[in-house]
This record gives sequence, C-alpha cells and structure tokens, in this order.
Amino acid sequence: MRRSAAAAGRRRLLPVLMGPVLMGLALMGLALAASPALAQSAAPAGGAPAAATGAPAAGVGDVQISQQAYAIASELRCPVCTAESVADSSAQISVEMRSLIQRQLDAGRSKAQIIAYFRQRYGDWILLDPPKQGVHLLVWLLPALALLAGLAALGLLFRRWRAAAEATPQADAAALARVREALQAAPLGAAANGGPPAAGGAPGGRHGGAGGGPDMNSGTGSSAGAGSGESAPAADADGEAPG
Amino acid sequence: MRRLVIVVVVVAGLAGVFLYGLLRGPPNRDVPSKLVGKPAPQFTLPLYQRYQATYGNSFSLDAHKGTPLVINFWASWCGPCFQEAPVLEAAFNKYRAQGVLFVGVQTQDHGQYDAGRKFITRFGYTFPVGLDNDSSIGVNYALFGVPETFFVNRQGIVVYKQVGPVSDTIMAKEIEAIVK
Repeated sequence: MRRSAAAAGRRRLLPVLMGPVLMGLALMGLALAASPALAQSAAPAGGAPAAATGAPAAGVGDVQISQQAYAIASELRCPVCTAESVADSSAQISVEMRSLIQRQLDAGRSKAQIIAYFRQRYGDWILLDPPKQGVHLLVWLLPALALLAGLAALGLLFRRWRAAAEATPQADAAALARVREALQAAPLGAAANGGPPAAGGAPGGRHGGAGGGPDMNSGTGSSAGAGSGESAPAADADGEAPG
Repeated sequence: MRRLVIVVVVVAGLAGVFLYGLLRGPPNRDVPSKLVGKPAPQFTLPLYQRYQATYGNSFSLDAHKGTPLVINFWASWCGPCFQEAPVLEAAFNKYRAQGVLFVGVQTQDHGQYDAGRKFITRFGYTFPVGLDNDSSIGVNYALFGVPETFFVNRQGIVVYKQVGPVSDTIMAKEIEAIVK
C-alpha cells in the first residue's frame, strides 16, 4: 500500500517537474531570439579583427586605470561584446571607455555622475546589471519568486505523499465478512498444503503447513522437519504442531 | 483525466512559446539610439591635413548650424566601412549641391593616422575627415560599433541613425528627410 502510494506520488511529481523545465526551455528560446546582437558585422568584439583589412589595434591607447575606474568599468557593458564588461573587454571601444572613465574621475566626477553619463547616451542597456527599479525589478524578483513557488510546490507534494503513506487502509465490512467466510470454509494452511486441514488448525496461519513451509519448499510441507531450521520455530510460533 | 488535460495544456503552451521564440525569424537587431529625435552632440574634430585648406584645421558641429549633416563613423580595420565608402563619396558628390555636408569620423582607431590616410586616399573622400583619437566623439554618439551614420537636419536634430553600412537607397531616403 505504501509502495503504491509512493509510486502514485512519483507519477504526480513528473508533470510538476516538467512545468519548470519546459518554462526554462521556453525562456531560453525567447532569450536566444531576442538577444540584441549588434547590427554591425564588423564590430571588433574582444579585439579580434572582424575583417581581413587589418587588425583593430586592440588595447592600443590603454591607460593605467585606478581601482575605482576599474570598478565603474566593471558595471558597464562593452558595446561590441557579448556579456562582457568594459573592464574585462579588450575591444578598442572598451579601452577608450576605460580611459574616458579615468579622465572623468581625474576631473573630479563621482561614480554616479560617470554612470549617468553613459546611461544618458546608451540608456539602461549599458548597465551590466539591470537597475533595481521599474520594470527591471522583475528580473530580480521573478527568480526568487519562482524559487519560492517551487519550494512551496515541493512542500505540498511531500505532505501529500506522507499523508498517503501513513493513511490506514480502509476495507469495507462486507468484503471483510466475505474473506472471513472463505477462510473458515477453506483455511489457508490446508489449501496451501494441498491436503485436508489439520485437526484443530486455526485458520490464518501465515506460514501454513508444518516444517519448512509451503511457500519456501513447495511440496515438502507434509514432511515434518524437512525444512530449514529457521522455518520450524516459525511453524511453532504459528501454533501448529509439527508432525 | 482532468489533471492530464491541464498538464497537456500547460506543456503545449510552453512548447508554443518556445517554438515561437525559435521560429519567429530574425529579430530586429537595431539597438535603439537615445539620440534620434534629440540634438546632435557637439564635437570638434581635428581634420586630416588634406582637408584643412577647405574646411579649416578642425570641424566643429556648432559652426555648421543650419546645415543638413551626414556624420559617418568608421575605422580603418572595419570591413563594412570599406564596403560603404564608395556609396558615401558618391552620395556626397550627388547631394552637396543641395547644401548637405558630410563629415567622416574615424573612431575606435587610436593612433591609426597612417591607416586613416591610406583609407581616405583609396576612396578619394572629398568631404572632411578626421581622427577621433580617444573615441570620445564615438562614446558621445553612443556608438556600438562601426560603421554608424547619423543624419542630422537643419535644426541640428538627429533624424535617423544607420547601424551598419549605408546603401544608395538609405542615402536617398534619409537625405531627403534632412534637407526639408
């Protein structure tokens, strides 16, 4: 009963788990299709030459930048790269942007002012992490909400499994009465041994006949003591005298 | 049975979204420009020597108020820039009589003066060209890559931004818009 309840629980789990998996696949598909790839075919991402017309001089003009400039650059997205920050990219435009950040710091501008400078020109797109405001909040909140929802669903599922496993099996009275009648008419032990019921043998002996027990050594039930040593006490315990 | 229907509907819906994402065709890859509809940022560009006699040592946007402008950003290493160069020169010769001025801004090309000269010699650019050596003009125009071309009307407003090489068709259409 417990085994079947657990199996049923697992069957119910399958569609529950398939949902998030398919949702993830769907979101991946949308992300792939909607990725804002650059229109220019010759953007010098990562400093690699995009055309056979000459190297883009990646890193040329790079200047030593302070930790603060590096920190600011690491919050900005390289315009010609994929998921790379201005700090990490070797594309020429990133080199120039790092240098620009340093110049602005040297001119006494704050981090907020420098970030605002780039946002004013490129929009929120330039920020590697979406700002935690407006519609961008969804990007931050949805994963957390999805995690909580998943945990809640699992919790509910486990509760249902446990309840199903702990439930006492209920049999209806009529069915029980029929079983009792049948047992009285033909006790299990006698039927299993293939012979007439032993005198005074109580119905319901789980190991049936004397000796090794019919379920272990078929056909040897009539030879008392022929079974293994472990079986004999079991027969005794069932209240049936061997032999 | 009811549970099965729900599962099938949900799975079919998600599969539909997934397929839509994959099969909806090439997305619009244009990164929207914050500049379109706004005044073109002012800049001063030191010009290559060959243009200085005609246009002065440097090109200043402020000095050309009231002139329809085509501002083209390019780099000496950029393949599509080579592709569009003849189109630009031909368009300049075609539309200059209507008062349209072109300016070439070599950017993301730090220190590449020789490569720049070679490029403009090869294509015989007659409109003013200079090197944006620290790419600050490019950043001010929020460039993503090169080439990019901005069409600025007489009021100094950016009317259109072309990402990638320009064509004769784009030239005709956008220049018509800025000379109005």
